[in-house]
Amino acid sequence: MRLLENRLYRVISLIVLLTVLLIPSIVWASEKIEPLVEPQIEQANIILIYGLFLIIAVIFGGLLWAYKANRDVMKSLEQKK
Amino acid sequence: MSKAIGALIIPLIYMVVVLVLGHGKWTKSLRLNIDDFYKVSAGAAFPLVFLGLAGGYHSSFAIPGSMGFVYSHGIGWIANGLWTLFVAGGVMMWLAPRINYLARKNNYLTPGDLVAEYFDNSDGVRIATAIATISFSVGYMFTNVIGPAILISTLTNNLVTYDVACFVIILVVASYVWRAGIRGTMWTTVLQACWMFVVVYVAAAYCTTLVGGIKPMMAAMKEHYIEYLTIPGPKGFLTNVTWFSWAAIAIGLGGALKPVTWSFFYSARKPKEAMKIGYTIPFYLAGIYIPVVFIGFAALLIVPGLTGVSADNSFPKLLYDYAPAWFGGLIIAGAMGAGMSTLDAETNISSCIFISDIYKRYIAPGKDERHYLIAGRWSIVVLAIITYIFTHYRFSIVAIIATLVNAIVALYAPTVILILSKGKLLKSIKITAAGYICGMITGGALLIYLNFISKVSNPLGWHYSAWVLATNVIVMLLVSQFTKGPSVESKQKFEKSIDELYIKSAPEEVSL
Repeated sequence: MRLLENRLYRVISLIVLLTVLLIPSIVWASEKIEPLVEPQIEQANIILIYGLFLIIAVIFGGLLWAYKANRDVMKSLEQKK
Repeated sequence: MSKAIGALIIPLIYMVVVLVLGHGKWTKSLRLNIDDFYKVSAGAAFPLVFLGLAGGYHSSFAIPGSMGFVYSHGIGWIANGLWTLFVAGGVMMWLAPRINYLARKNNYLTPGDLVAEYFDNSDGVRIATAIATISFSVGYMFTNVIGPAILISTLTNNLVTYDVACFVIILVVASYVWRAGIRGTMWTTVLQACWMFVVVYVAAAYCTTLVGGIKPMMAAMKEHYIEYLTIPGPKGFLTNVTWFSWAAIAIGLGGALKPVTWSFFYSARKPKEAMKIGYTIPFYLAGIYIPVVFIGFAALLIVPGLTGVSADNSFPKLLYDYAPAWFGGLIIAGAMGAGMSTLDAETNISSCIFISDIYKRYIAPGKDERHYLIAGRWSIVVLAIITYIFTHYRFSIVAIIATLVNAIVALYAPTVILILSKGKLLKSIKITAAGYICGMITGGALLIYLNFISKVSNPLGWHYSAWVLATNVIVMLLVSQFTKGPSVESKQKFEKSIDELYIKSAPEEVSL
């Protein structure tokens, strides 16, 4: 439990440090460029909603796959010992 | 300002997740020695090796550099997938199991270990290989901070400046590589590989929908940019010669045998799993090239007229003008993943090569493992500082370094191929330690000349990688004719080891 608290403390400290480092400087003047085709912004934004779920699912799946495979490898190493 | 802050939330969450993954208990080494710090000595699970290498293979060029390339040069970019599949994939399938088996049998840690042992543990060969491989890795480190840092500063409207972005990226990466070595690298890259791959496809779907769909996109491209649908493209860059000399040698061969891939070859549990790397990773890599084309075309249509460095930033510009802030944040995180996944692996292997090939053998021999582990961690800190300093040369020296490092693999790849070959013809070619070293020196000198002195870096249109490769091979073969080769015992040892892989009755851990 103490170990978890220490790790959590380190993570929180890092978040605070990152936030402090985010100091606004020169504002970049954004020049609007005229597109060659009319952008379909609303339709494109709907794609993003589905995309977000897909991203979360793939990341979760990848980490789970790696975690399970690693656990199996560690078990087989323990058995060999 | 609110859009800039909105774009930062997801990257911040991403950084926290990366830190947790990179420092978690699953990254703990089984043994406190450099062998288990720089590679997984007992062998890592295949998903860790596959995603760990796949995610780190593409540098930060993947996002947004590759989109900028399509913006400037057109559809020819997609042909890169062929070279990745056939050259990089073929070389990895062929050599990875042999490298893995030799490494497990003889406890190698670096490319220099394998090459030097073949030449009867030649110090000259080891030092030459160490210099070449560490030059590659350190050079690659610089370039993988710049891309994500530029993207962050662009999409946050400079709320997070380039310097701050560089500092934070380097600090986060150095922290988990320092603590957990290759395990920290592998686990964070699992996240980054998944993130990067799917976010590029989502971005392509978004960009294509933004211009009305694939058919309207292609119709608009045909109307406004027909030359972008051809090879060699609007600037005439993508010629057959360029594809062979640049994509096949620098990208394909260079990527397959660059130093960092060796640490993953060494970390595979057995030769069969090392071979799996060869026929899985190229599909991952080539798979990312497809959506890149759609993104580049959409950027051409939505934010036309950008040139030079602005063209490289066409995709961030499109996102900033049209996408919701949170999606820009996802892309930033994807770009950070592309850069950080390469940066951490290169940091790990650079430190490994320095400690194992140079420090342990020639500067402080005979110390205990704890000493080398501490020295290794200090070297990671020094590398991080050097990387931060060099990020301030972003458009001049670093741009040159970024392109020339891939050619460094051409300095040792021919010899590695000859050492690991089974065929009678290749085995009959005489190579010696002196030939190897002379080939490296001559090739290296040519590389520096073409990139820093000569006004023409690609003579006759051939990428300098091809010239470096040819020079290296010619000098190596010539000098080898007049110098002493490796001992018969050494050659037989390597031949016997490679033959063991192909014996049908060999144990399951060995046989292919």
